[in-house]
Amino acid sequence: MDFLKNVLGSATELSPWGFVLRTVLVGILLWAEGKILPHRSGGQFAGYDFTFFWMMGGITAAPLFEPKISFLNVIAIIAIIYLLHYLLSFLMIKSRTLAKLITGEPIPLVSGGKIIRRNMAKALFPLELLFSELPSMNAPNIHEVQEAVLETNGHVSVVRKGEALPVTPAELNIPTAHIHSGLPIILIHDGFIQPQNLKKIGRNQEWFEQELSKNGVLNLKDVYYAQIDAAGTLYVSVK
Amino acid sequence: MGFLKGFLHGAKDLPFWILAIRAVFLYIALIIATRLMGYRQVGILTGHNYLVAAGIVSLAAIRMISPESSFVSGVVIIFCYAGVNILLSYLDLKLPKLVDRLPVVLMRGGILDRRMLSDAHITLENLLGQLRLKEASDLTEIDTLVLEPTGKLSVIKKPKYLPVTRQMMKLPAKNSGLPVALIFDGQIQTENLVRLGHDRRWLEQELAKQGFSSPKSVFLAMLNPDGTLYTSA
Repeated sequence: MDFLKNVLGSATELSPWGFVLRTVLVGILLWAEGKILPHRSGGQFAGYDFTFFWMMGGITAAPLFEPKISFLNVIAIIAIIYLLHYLLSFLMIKSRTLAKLITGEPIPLVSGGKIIRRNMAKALFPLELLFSELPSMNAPNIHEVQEAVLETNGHVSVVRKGEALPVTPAELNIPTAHIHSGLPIILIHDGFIQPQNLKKIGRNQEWFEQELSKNGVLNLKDVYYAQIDAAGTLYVSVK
Repeated sequence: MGFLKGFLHGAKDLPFWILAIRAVFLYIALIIATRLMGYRQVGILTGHNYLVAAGIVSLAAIRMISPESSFVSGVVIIFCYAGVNILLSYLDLKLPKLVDRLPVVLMRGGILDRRMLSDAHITLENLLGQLRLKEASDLTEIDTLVLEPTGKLSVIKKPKYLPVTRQMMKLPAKNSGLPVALIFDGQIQTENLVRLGHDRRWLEQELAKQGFSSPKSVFLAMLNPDGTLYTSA
């Protein structure tokens, strides 16, 4: 009983076995956090997401630093930080002014092809950093850049100049009306058929089996993954 | 009084609610510090940004849960740490070569630089993996590879393997630039409308063309540089 109390609460000394148990508990805690973490925090859209995300990691691992740190405190503090992040995100959707105050506004670094020196200095952004960000935005040559904006997540977004933009089907008058876009619908996932998705596209299993046989698959059980895209094209991958 | 002292400087044991208040304040302090450090900290763009991220946060984390540590020293350390980071970023601006590492050219004119690869401790497997992630698994298409100080790989393809641009097709250049919000979160952005030389009536007409009876029903409307209007109810 004392052992468990030492593991969960504050202890002056803890045996290696105690730490092993604590590590397992930290692992479980991390898993639980991963389940409930807001999507935006992982994407690190803004400074406070960054704070939240790294902070959660630090707090969760803290019981492993010192025997004195109590697990119960850790869980309680995690709950509080989580609520704070939730509250901030909620308030920011309600108030644009607050959102600007907390996350800041994107800073234009290039405008009309000209690098804005003042903003570069304001953002503590050396030229080297700008040039190292451009290739990942498919604009390795600054000459091709019309606009570049330092987003609140610390990365640079780019709009290329008109003549450097890729040609789209619209310009070449290539009809695309027959090509549907949108997310594909999964029909078999990891070997399991998804009846609710079949229903969504207004088909039944019989139709599906027929379509599969057209693709040379005779048995549903042989399929590892199958999807149908918005254009009606079936993709099948067998086990 | 004992509570206040424990709150500020730590004590052998603290009631839970004091730790909770400390956590709230430390969290706010960290958010302010992150804002001060600038967006480049959030993006973790250079080496010192990494170290700061790991350091400052565990410092604050310990103070949230350990009753014995001092709250005051926690806040002081957070802002000192942020200050040092800002100083490093500022020096990076003035003396880029001193603070940050230089980019390393791993391939030039389609030929891999073996020496540079081994200098940068990059194995061929690492390199090929990164190239696959960049949709550049065919090495014949690549002209230059640069390993940025952040550890990111920049791929510059040979011109003939780049997507066709308007210029190559002798098509007139498209009006390029950033779209401007005319309605944002249901609110008409009068300032942007005026700046573009339009007025409310014009906007209402344009919205009517897209089937909106009133601007109130629009959630987001963006005017693109080519003159088209994107709307979403």
